[in-house]
Amino acid sequence: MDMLILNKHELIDNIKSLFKDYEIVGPSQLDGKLYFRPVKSMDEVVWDFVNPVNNIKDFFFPPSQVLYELRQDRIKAFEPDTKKKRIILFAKSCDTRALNLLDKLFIGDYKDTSYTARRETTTIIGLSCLEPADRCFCISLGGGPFATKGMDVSISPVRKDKFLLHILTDKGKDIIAEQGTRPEREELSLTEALKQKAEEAIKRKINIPSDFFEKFDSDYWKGVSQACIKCGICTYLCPACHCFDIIDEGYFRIRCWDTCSSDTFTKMAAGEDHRKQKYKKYRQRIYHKFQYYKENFGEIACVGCGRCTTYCPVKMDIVEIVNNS
Amino acid sequence: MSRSHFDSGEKVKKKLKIIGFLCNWCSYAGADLAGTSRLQYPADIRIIRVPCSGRMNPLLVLKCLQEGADGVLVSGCHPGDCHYQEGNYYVRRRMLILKNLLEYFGIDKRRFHMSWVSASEGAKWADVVKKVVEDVRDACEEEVKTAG
Amino acid sequence: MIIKKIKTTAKDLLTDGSVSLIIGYGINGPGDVTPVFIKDPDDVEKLVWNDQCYYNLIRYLSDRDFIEQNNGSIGIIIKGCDQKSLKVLLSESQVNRDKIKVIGVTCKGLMDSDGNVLAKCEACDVVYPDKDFCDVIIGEEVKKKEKEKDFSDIDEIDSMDLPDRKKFWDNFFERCLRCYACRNICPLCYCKECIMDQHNPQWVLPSASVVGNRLFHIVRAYHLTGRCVDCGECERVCPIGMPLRKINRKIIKVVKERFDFESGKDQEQKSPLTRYRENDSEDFII
Ligand code: SF4
Ligand code: SF4
Ligand code: SF4
Ligand code: FES
Repeated sequence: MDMLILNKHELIDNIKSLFKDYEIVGPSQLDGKLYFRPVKSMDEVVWDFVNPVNNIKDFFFPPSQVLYELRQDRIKAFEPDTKKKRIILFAKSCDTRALNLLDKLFIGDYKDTSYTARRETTTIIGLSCLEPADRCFCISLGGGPFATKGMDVSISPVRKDKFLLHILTDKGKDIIAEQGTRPEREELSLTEALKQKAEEAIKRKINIPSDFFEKFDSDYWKGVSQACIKCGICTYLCPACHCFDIIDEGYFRIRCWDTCSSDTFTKMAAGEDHRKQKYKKYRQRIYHKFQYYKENFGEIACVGCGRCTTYCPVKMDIVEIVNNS
Repeated sequence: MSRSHFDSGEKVKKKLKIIGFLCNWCSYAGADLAGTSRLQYPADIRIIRVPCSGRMNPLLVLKCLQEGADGVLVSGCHPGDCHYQEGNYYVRRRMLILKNLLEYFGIDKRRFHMSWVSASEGAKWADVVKKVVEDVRDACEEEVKTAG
Repeated sequence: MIIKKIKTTAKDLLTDGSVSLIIGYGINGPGDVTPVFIKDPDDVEKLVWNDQCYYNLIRYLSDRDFIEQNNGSIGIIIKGCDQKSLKVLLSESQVNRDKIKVIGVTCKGLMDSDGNVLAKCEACDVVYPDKDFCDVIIGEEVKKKEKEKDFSDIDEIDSMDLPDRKKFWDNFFERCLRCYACRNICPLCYCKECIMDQHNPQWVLPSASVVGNRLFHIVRAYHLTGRCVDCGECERVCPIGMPLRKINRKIIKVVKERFDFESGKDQEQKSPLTRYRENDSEDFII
């Protein structure tokens, strides 16, 4: 659709005008860490950053969510509060691409109402990465630091304090005022140069071996999973992981995240556990991403954000582990 | 939406919900004596009998608070009088740690109490309950005030 | 050179068959230090030693499944602080001392990724592992620094007003994901079935919410009373930066002041909650 060139202050003014009608979520610092979280003003928002701890899936598929309340005489269902629309600022292309992957599951054959409602009332403004982190490997999975898939508006720098905006959807059109100038050829080529530079900076690559599926029964998995402590950080912080559990807390029925690495994930009522050993749990995570999801939905459920490697307590490196399998 | 009342949040109720864990051999008998001697004390306490105060797992206290109790009291035999010789010595250490932790996390220490009441101390039992109820009520009121 | 000695020691132990596995530090693809498990004497080249070796490898010794899979003798590389957790495990009969070979390494203190000395290392008093405890010692003997325990960070929180203190902690409880990394990395959290994983009865609310999270953290810390040796692993791994050492150290402080006890000193000592003194203070009892 449309392309615009805006100065930084024009862009900020535009976003500022949205605070009235929208809840704005953006990357912002809290206790020395960066999170996507609701912000009150543009001063809280960080512009130069690599991936925050959490990712934008939290705002569609929250860590725990009350589904309904059960009392003797009534059942009350809880729907997410979507009266106030939401804008997610400065999402990175890996996160938005992962959202597209989640759509296939949550808005597929079965429509998850709360996910869909949140999805429909959220507008995503993406920001290209100028300096990818050294753990990023999005390119080898079909993404890239300047990719725009899953965004409503994408922002890429042209030069200092000047930005190129792509308005990609109608939702995006609604929030960006008619202003600025049309991009000149020179400005487009400047962005193109920045894009190339950013892409070159990504050195890590994931190469799924051709006999990946045949390796399923190999002892390889026992070896590489030895260090894993079965915590679940990798799954909880992954933008594409989506397993959940339904639990009861008193009168409330709650959906909360679950992880294939935990001891209870596959534990049956009678105590049987068909994935008891650690290597089976770890292998499940890898195969779900790189094999089963592809079989079911046509795409790999990994976008290369590198969070699992960065935050893993024992620094298990998914790239190395898949490449060497 | 508040799903639990660890912090009772809303207005302080007229009648509080305080859970008392009483050792079978002393405090429970003491409370019984208070009853048979027709001593008056607030009815805000609900009593659960345990075989010995040494049976108290800190989780029981925490679970009560999590599920919405306003306060918890643990009561056993005086040191040296435990029916099983040493149960109350152990629990004394356990509850000291618990009390410190609760306070450290910002939970009013007046919500959790421990006492020694023997089988012959009906009057002391009535006093203990009065004090506990008063303390818990103060704690609740203060919390509502600071929560604004 | 320390690393050279580590490698030769590991090689010797593996070749003469006194151990079938060495747990040590290695490097992964992107260059981070990571635990490595070496069975083949030729693989000892993978071992490294530098200021990023913060993992407390003792964690694997208390992992039942791990021990089941590697049931031969195990050689393990430890620092002075790791030795404390091993001693606690021994005092609780969780590790068979005859089946492990302890390779103690003198440590100069570790750095975080920004190059700052770790807080736990600044307060460290065990840079040199015990000679009579380890089977092999690598590195020069360093005089132990006798240090008064500094609990000023705890006092700071203690001196806050009650509502402020609550706010301080709830700020973190709001974000805790219940990933249980803090529990799983802890060498002393070895319960076969954690109470957090039990659903019937359900003791602690399992979803990530302030109420359940607060209880989880009380219980997690409580279960380490008189056991936690302040190795700081829980705080290091927490993705949301929960100041877990501040919780653990609060208990360490209370246990020290009230019961005059320090964990990890001696493998014969019994934990303070499994014994008592008749004259323990009871100023909190009505
Ligand atoms: S984050 Fe690391 S240690 Fe935790 S479950 Fe994932 S791979 Fe295992
Ligand atoms: S606490 Fe002491 S022994 Fe442990 S890593 Fe730090 S300096 Fe080394
Ligand atoms: S590691 Fe951090 S986020 Fe995970 S359960 Fe522990 S405190 Fe919560
Ligand atoms: S029997 Fe009363 S405290 Fe042990």
